[in-house]
Amino acid sequence: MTPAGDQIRAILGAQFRVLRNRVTGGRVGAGRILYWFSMALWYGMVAFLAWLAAVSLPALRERDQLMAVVSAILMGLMAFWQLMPVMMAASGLSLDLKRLLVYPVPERHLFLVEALLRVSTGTEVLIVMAGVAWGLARSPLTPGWTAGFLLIFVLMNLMLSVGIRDLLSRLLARRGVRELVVLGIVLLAALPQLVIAAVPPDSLRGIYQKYAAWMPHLPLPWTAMALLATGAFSWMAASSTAAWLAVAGWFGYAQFRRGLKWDEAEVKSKDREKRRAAAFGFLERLYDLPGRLLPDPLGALVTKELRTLGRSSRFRLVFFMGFTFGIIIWLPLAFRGHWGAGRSSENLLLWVSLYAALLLGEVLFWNTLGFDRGAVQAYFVMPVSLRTMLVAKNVTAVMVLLAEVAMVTLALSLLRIRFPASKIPEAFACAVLVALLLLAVGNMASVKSPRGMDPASSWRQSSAGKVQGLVLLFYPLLLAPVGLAHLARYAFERDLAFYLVLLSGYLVGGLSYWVALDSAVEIAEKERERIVAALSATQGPIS
Amino acid sequence: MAPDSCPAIEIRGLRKVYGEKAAVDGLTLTVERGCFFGFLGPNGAGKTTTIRMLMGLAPPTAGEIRILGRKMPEDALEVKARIGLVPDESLLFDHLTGAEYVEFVGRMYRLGRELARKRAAELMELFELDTAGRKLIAEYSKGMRKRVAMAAALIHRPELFLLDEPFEGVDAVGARLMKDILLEQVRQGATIFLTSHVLEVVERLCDRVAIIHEGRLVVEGSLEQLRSGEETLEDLFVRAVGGPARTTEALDWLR
Repeated sequence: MTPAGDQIRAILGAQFRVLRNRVTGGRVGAGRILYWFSMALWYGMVAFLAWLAAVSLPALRERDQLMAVVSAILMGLMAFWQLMPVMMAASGLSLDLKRLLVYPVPERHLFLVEALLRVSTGTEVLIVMAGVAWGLARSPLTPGWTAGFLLIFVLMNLMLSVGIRDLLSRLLARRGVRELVVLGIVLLAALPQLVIAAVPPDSLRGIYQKYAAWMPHLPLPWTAMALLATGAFSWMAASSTAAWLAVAGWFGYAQFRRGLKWDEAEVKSKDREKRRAAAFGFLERLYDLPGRLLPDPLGALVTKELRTLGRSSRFRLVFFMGFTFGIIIWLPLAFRGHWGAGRSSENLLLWVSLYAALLLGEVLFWNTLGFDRGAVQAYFVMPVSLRTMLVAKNVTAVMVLLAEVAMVTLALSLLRIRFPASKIPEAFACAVLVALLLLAVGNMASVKSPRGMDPASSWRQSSAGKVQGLVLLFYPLLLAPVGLAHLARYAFERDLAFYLVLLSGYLVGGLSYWVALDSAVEIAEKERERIVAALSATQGPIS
Repeated sequence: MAPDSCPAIEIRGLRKVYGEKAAVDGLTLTVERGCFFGFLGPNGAGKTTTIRMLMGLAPPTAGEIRILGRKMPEDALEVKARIGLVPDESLLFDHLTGAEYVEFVGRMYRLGRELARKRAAELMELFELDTAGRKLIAEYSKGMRKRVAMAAALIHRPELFLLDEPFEGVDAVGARLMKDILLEQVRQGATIFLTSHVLEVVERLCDRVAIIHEGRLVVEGSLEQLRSGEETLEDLFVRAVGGPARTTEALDWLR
């Protein structure tokens, strides 16, 4: 092993030890079991897709058909790998450069490790791609070994992913620019949705047929790769693949190098100056309002929570995404191809509001002590009960969620999307009920498995797939009362039925919240040392 | 000048601006080899920013840095390989044991696995951390964290040490041990660039000191040159950066 290789091995080895020490030091509780169960469910679904690809591809009898299917699959996989982390604001694993840059490690070695770590955002893609490769290898239309070309596709995506992550990390750290970038992503994501909503299905079919006819001649990464992987060699496909690989490599390495030279403290200081200028602005007065209306210490705690959240990049990003991105991704489902009409647009406000609650989950519900990190010990020292502290966090969460629903309502009105006025109080009522249930589970999760979060980091470190897996399992359960209320209205065709079920949901939610709050306070009292240690702890070389 | 005969640190017109504020403003400084150099200043004076620039962690807005004859940040890799750093903010990995961390740092300096492990074990023993056994760094006290950071800084026998508040939170026994080790390193030709708020320590250890205030160098020289009469380093420091302007007299409730 060369000394340089030893550095890379040391970084990966240290990270392995960090994970091992964490696992052996951690307790196996219900939360962990549920976590692994949800992961098994998610990756089980992904494995099923891989199996589907492996058995379906050999069944195709025409080369053009095989190529079109593989090309479509690769396009979807590339979109998932590159866009899903952006959509979920989750970056996956990456090197903790702040801790590694003090050592004499060459940039290219750091880049190599960083590119390998991008696998963490594309695990699902790799599983499905293994299925595609297996299917291609077994297909009578291909020589079999050509499935190996898919490795080039993986390599290209890894490097592209490094570039996108670094570029977005820098852009999202800048106040003002961050909001513009998110808006740009929203508009970009909106484009296909709007096309689906606005263009008649027949025209779309025509466009697709033209694309399918031209596809083998288009220099797109997925088409070129599909040609090579299915054994349909051409100079154009080979040169196009080589060019895409070179561009992705150049983009990834250039962005990574820029990231190394980037001084985050400098950007943050400019942000602070802007914040100081806004110190006496509208938001500051808003943060101060609960402190005037509620008795201390609750009022002071809520004001502190609002200030902390308002100054956190992560919170601002997900709050902004809630009423922009949320609207866009639910539009096609709401209108089902008929822009501005259709019965289902009635519930758009509710869906977007619940999606926003989901996005806000990590900062408001699941890990409420996360932003306090080491400072959480102040709660154990100050003459304030832990119950008051948790209630203050919960009051803040509900206030923020209501503000989010208000923003969603405003945004939909500005977009001239019609829905009955009665849906507005309904959305608020449902959002508060879901918040109650989220808080009941969230308070327990917050004291059972607290994790320190960097308020300045816009991106979540976990992978988008993991987040989805967890959401898939827990969120439907918490939405059940709202779903039952809608079912009751559908069954009895009366609003009264809806509100009665909602009311009973409130009773169950209130009771659950009350019991969970008591338990959370008891756990926090008993396990204060563990909580403080967990929140203060730093990561390994990879965070 | 041959790299080995030139000063350990040469800084010319160094400037770092954050927003509209200059954290370091036209700093010019030379630290000769084999010198125990104290770099002092009140909180927020620009000491840590200077060290971050010396390590190539923050690009200077203007100015020139040469370390051990090499230009920063152009020759950053060569320079970093010859520096031992104890930062004020923790760069430790909390979920590693002390020995695992020191070995990791050794391998970052390309010592090779076996040598890094051997030296890590010896350093842990030297700093009396071997008894901590398989304790994770997360469970260490503040003083133990500083000691393990110092052990990691020594593992590759650096020519230059950049130490940012290395004695903070360290008990008297640990501090004595660290001082003895550092003095021994200086005797063997190493250079030490130290920032500390414990002026008695600086007074006892350092040959030369520099004081910066609001990013600018206000005093530099040997302690003998700078002190007048019976003046202590604390008196000199207060004189250089301005004495306490406020007292509690204005606050009736505090009296």
